[in-house]
Amino acid sequence: MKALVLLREVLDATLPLEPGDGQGPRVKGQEAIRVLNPADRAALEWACRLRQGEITALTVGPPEVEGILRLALARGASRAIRAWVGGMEGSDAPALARLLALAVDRLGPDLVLTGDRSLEGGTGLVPGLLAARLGWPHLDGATHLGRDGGRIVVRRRLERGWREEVEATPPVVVAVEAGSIEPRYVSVRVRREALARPLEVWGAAHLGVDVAAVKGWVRSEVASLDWPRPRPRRVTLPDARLTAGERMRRLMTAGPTPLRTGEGRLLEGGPREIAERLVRFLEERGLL
Amino acid sequence: MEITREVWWNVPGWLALALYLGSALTVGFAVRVALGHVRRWLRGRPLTAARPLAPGRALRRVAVEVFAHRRIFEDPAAGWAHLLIFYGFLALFTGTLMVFVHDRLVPFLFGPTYLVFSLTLDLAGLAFLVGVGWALVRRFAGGPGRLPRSAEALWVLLLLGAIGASGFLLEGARIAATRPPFEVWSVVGWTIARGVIALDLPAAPLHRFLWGLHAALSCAFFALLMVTFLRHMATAPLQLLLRELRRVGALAPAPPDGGARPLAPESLSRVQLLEASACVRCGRCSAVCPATAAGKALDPRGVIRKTLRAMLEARPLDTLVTPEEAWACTTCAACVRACPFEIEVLDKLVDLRRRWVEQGAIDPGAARALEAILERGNPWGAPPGERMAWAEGLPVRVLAPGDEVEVLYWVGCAGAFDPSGRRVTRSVAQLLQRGGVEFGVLGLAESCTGDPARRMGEEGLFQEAAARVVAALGRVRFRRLLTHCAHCFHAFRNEYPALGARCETVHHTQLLAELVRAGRLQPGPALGATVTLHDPCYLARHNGESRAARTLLAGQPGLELVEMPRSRERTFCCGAGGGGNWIELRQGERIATLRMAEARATGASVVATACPFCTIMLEGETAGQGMVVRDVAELLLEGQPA
Repeated sequence: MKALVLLREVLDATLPLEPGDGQGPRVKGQEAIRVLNPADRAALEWACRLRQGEITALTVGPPEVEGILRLALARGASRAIRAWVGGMEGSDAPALARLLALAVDRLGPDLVLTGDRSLEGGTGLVPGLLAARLGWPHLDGATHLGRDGGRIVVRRRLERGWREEVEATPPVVVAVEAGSIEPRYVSVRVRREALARPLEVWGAAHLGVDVAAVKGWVRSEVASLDWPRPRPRRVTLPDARLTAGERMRRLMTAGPTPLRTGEGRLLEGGPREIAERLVRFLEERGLL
Repeated sequence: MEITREVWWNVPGWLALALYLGSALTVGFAVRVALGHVRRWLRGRPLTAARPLAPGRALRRVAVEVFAHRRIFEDPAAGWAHLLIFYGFLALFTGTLMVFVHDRLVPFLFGPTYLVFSLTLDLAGLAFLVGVGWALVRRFAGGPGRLPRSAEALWVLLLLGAIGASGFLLEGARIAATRPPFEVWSVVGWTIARGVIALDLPAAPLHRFLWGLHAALSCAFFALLMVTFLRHMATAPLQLLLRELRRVGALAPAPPDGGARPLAPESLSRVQLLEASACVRCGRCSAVCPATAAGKALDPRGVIRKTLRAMLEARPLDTLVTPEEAWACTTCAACVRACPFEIEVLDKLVDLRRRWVEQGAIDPGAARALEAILERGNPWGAPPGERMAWAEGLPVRVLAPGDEVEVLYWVGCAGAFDPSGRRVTRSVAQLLQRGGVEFGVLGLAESCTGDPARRMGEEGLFQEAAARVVAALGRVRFRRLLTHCAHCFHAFRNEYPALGARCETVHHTQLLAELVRAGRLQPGPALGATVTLHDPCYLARHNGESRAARTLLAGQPGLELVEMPRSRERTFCCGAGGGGNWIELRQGERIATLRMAEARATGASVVATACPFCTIMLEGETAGQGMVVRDVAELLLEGQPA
């Protein structure tokens, strides 16, 4: 059995982001960190867990994305391919699926594994479009993969917390959820060794297309990016001078706990007196 | 009647022959076993010395430990028992050699010399028997629970006792049979002789029987010498000598293939294997181990025993020690400090971790911390761009490449990202400003020293992180490197020199104590509180610095400093070291809980610390206890005049 794992490099979106100049979000105050898309990382880990014969890792992109292929080799891929055709920059999901389908035709895997969505694009369309082009079953939202003889057994997450287990005869496309498997740690030594291993680069000629045609596939592109409206109110962090236990308590309990030491005030007295002071407090601040 | 002893009196030729034959055989056996150990040691990796061997210092050290029992006397009862056995044995053994010299080479045991000799040996024998008896009582009828009540210990001690007792009895029988009046000087033998005479026992046959028994038991001693813990008579002095080549807790780099293959005995260093042969299983290590105390799987003595087993059976150590044991270690080195021979446990556990790291089979918390160091330069995975957030509102100089400064303040990841760590950093920065110290920080150019990675067994990551740090340090010029993190301090002081980064590293307690002594800071604080000081392992034990923090706290009006039972270099870990800060062990209690209970028992309301990791760990235990945890720098800042 041969497995093909489709990978994508994304901006590490867990860092604080700010609007960039037209091209997309930018990491605040530092250089961006680009990482392997978490769902794809889970897909790769499942491929290794299944102990397939050959695991090929493939990504579409310019030379800068080769880092994730090195990581895939370190994590257990036996072969790594970077496919790239000029003109794919800013490609939409259908164009990407079309290119991937060509690669799948060349490689002839029994199982295509990928993340169910990327942190950047987030359409979640590519696995489905790819399966449709190939005419293969498409099992998305996969949270567990196994094998039963020649068949692939996939546990899928459905709406409202339902789960289903699907058995499929290869070839199939499986889209894996991020976090469905804890990836093994890969040491720096193993990562370094992966640097010495060969990477294949597939261009238009390898895929049997010409560049002009590929340009024509891309029919939509991002024109501009709007930053989300700022949140009306920030979640206030508890005072750093408090103890860890106290900070936890304040984050987890609702109620009139002072947010900063000395900031809150507790009113005492009869109901009428308190009400009057509240009204006065609000009036002083022009809120009434 | 001449005042001497006829050495072979009443001993037939065949019995003498049997003694020589038996001794030759059993000594030969012991030598063979000893050579087997040596051969196995030599199969290990050569030792990479952390410091050059200073023969004078090393020999002095061995002499102090062996002849003055310095470490052994840390448990006084054990010290006295061992001292009696040690000097009793030494005297008796020397006496036997002297008899041999007198008999075969130069006869000299005549007249007064003989009488003094007899008296001395009788007293030594008495001391020896008292020591053995005491040891038996300590092991099998009370005594500390750490001592193993093993069959091995029982038989060895009974054998020693029987050798001593049979020696006295045969002396008594000989005196009863020959009745030399001067033998009254052999006080014990004389008393026994009077008993033999009173009971009207056949003295000469009895003597012959006891002589044979004594000889047989002595041969048994040689036979057991190298196959029981008696082995330490040969191995411990060697271990103490070679100990001088290493610094406690400063880990050696992994070999190039470290972790790639099972941890076979050959993958351990020669000294690690020697240590396994030297252990006497006294259990002092396990008695002080925080992980053992908290009910986790680790038992340091067990690890050394398993190392010996791995060596003798040529089995990989990772088939004997479980991951739960190895990951429970906080690398606090309390075990090393407690061991009479300073046998290192944590280096073996780190070697095991290296193996499991290479296999990818590690705790998810550890894996996340390691990946965070790799990808974001700090073990919390905090956004690297927020590294200077602690300095908000403070005029702190961020150094540019080429800048020069008196003190380079290494903030560390805890100081930069953890909320309580930031408190400490702000306090230190403000104190430096008040004290007029010219200092700067590296700002975003700072990244993890790699210390947690090395202690979690990820040597490749340590090397990479350290190379980054060495490069960053090389871009600025400074006279002293200041850290407030005991772990960064340890790494810079003991492990970075091997990477080519030599600089004067100073801990903030040391620098602040200097400023107080120079009158540039008020010795604070003036708060009316009872304070107890929790010494960080990596400061007090690994680096011997426990005075500076006390200088800062002691002698203040209104501040009472109370000590916990385990303090200074015998401090008890907070549980954060060796990756413990990121690994959630579900087994047993939390180590910090035990430590806070100890702090509470002093009656103090404030626990002072000097390492951000201790602060984090102990603060997690303060909920509802009415106690606060503060770094000494915070307390000192509070005491400064407005």
